[in-house]
Amino acid sequence: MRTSLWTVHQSPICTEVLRIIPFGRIWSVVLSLVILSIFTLMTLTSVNAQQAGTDTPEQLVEKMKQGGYILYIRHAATDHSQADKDLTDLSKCELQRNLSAQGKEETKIMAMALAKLEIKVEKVITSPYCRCVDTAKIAFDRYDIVEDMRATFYTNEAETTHLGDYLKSELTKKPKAGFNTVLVGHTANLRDVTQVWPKPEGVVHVFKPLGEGGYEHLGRITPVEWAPLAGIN
Amino acid sequence: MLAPVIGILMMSVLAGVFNYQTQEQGKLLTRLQNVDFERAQKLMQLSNHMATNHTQIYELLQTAETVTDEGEFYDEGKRYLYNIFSIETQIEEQIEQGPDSASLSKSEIELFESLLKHISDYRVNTTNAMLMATVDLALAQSVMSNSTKQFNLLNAKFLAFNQSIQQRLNQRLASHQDAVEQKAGLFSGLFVSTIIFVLLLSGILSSVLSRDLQRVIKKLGDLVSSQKKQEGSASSPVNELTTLAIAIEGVRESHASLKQARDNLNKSNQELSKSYATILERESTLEELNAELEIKIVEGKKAEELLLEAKEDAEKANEAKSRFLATMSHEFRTPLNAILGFSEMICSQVFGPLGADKLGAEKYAEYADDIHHSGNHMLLLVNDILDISEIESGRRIITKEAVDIDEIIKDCVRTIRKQVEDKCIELSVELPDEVPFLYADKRSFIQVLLNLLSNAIKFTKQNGSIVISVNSGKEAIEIAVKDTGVGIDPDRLGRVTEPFSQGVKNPYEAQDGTGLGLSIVKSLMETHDGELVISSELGVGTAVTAVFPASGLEERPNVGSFHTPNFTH
Repeated sequence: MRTSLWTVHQSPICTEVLRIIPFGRIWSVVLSLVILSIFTLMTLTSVNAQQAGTDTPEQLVEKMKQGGYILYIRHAATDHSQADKDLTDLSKCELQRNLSAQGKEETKIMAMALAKLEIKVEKVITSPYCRCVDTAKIAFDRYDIVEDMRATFYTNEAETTHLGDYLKSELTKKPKAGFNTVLVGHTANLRDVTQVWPKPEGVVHVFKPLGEGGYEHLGRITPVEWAPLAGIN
Repeated sequence: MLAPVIGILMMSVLAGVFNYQTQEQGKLLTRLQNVDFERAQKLMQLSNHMATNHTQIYELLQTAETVTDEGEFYDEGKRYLYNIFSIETQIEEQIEQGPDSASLSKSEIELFESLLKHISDYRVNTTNAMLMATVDLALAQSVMSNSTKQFNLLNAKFLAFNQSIQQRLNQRLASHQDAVEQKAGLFSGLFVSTIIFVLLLSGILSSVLSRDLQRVIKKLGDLVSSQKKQEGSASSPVNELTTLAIAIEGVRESHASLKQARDNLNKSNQELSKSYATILERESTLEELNAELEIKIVEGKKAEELLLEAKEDAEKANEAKSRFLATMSHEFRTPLNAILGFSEMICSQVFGPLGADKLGAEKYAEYADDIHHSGNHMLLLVNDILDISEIESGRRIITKEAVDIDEIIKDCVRTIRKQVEDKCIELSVELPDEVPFLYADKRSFIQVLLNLLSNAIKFTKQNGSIVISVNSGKEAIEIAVKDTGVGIDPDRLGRVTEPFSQGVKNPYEAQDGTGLGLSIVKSLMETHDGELVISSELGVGTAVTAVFPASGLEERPNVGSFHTPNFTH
């Protein structure tokens, strides 16, 4: 049994239907997705962030033993009473600033450590400056002099870019399995390309080549750290 | 006469040439001066850049003692070194600029090259200073002071260069002015000599010309006298003037005959143009006639078309009338058959003598009821048919007045209350805040509303709902009746306002009603210049809206809701 209703409704002439956007739910989802993707993007790109490189020397040694890394070695300590006088002919060592006795000593120790830790080196590329050649000679007794490794101190923009490109390509190349590549060079070149300023003289910065993807800076080993690492003296 | 003309020509040519030359030279001068001026400006600019850069390098070196990030120190320093490279490049460009006489003198080129060498030395020195800064600041600073000395030398060289350019600018200007003065002198000399030349020339020319003229006249005289001899006229002393007079006479004669011929030609020309004008006139008249004929043809065709249309319309109306009559007769036949049948059954006392037993009494009562029902039905039919024919022939009296919609709805609701209750249908009314007056015939409006409501009730099942709503706008007032009934088949929707068609032909549904309701409503709406809008969905419901044109009468606010007491079921 139903009741018949007899009410007279007073409806306004126009009844509008307001659609209220559920701001809370949908928008917050969208916003969080956006933030998440930005964050992911940043993390991915920061893979090549140059200032990272936080591996400890021990970790670096372990990795180098496996092979597949690039060792960028700044030339060993030099005698700062000497100065680069004339760089037109880089074979003339007497017109350049060369290694000091300390530098030569530290390089020998590094060589011994590398041998003891069985860190294998496929090839050695060096800048033509005498201090770099000497470092390579003492450490590995073999080297390839590459003109494009020369310092970018005195070069103009075009030349600096050219040398930078060369270094960049070297940092992305993978050595053969089980081996590492050594680059002996200067502060300026590494700074131009990777924003890393290798310090002090003789320091080794380790990079992981990623082929087409670039490279990754892992960390560094200073000259004084080799002896304890390898258990020498 | 000729001579002065020639003279003026020559002088203007000369003047033009002189002007042009001066202009050209002026332009060249300006160009050269511009090149040199810009070069001087550029050098000033570059020396300023050098100075600023040098200061910045100096400041950088001051920070060398407290530097924490050597890499950043190197980055900044490298920027300043690049600036010096750029300045060197720009100076090289200055040397290469300016072909022909805007090029630099040998000594100037040498000056430039030595400038470049010094800048390069300065740069190398500065680089060394920066490299040493973080290792041995004192040494670096001494190297830097060397650089500063070189820098000062550079500045001096820049200045010297500027001065030499300045000199050249002034020199060039002076020599240009001298050249102009020289030329001016030359020109005035030429001017004078031209005048003399012209005077001489005119003297020579006049004598030459008069000689030629005499020769020509003599020739003419010989010609005329030979002619005269042939004609046999007396030969008069021939001298120049007579010969000339005779010649002139002959020319005059031929001129006269020529004139005559020309006049004749003109006359015939005029006549030709006259006849041509007549032809054109005739042509235009013909065209006008043509156009009129065409219009007449088109009008004739149109009239024919209209006649055909009217004929068709008449035929259609006739058909409709015949159909109506046929259906109507059919509709009458059904109740008549019922009356005859049932009354026969009572007469022949099929269920036994009247009033004899209970069964018979029941049955006979039933039949009587059926007969009464059929009679009523026929009466309704007759009424409705009369209504339609009245409305359509215009014999129905329509008096339009201000109708209170509110009141009428209340009345109609009261009228159909029982039927709604019996079927337990929910009825509600929706009115706007301000209900306008309707300008219509009151009786017609009631008829429309009652018709729509009875249809809604008829076709809505138990526990359905009906809504009466009023919507008023600028153009129209809409009164709608919506129900939740069985709905109308979409195929039949178009024909539902035709007489004797009912929406759903289901013999098991109650078929009260004459089937003329909606067609009456439609006709009534048409007489009020309104329309009837029907929308429906099978199984869902139907909405019928009567649209009246806006009344323009003042709206009266709604007096408020009213409730009639609830009727429980």
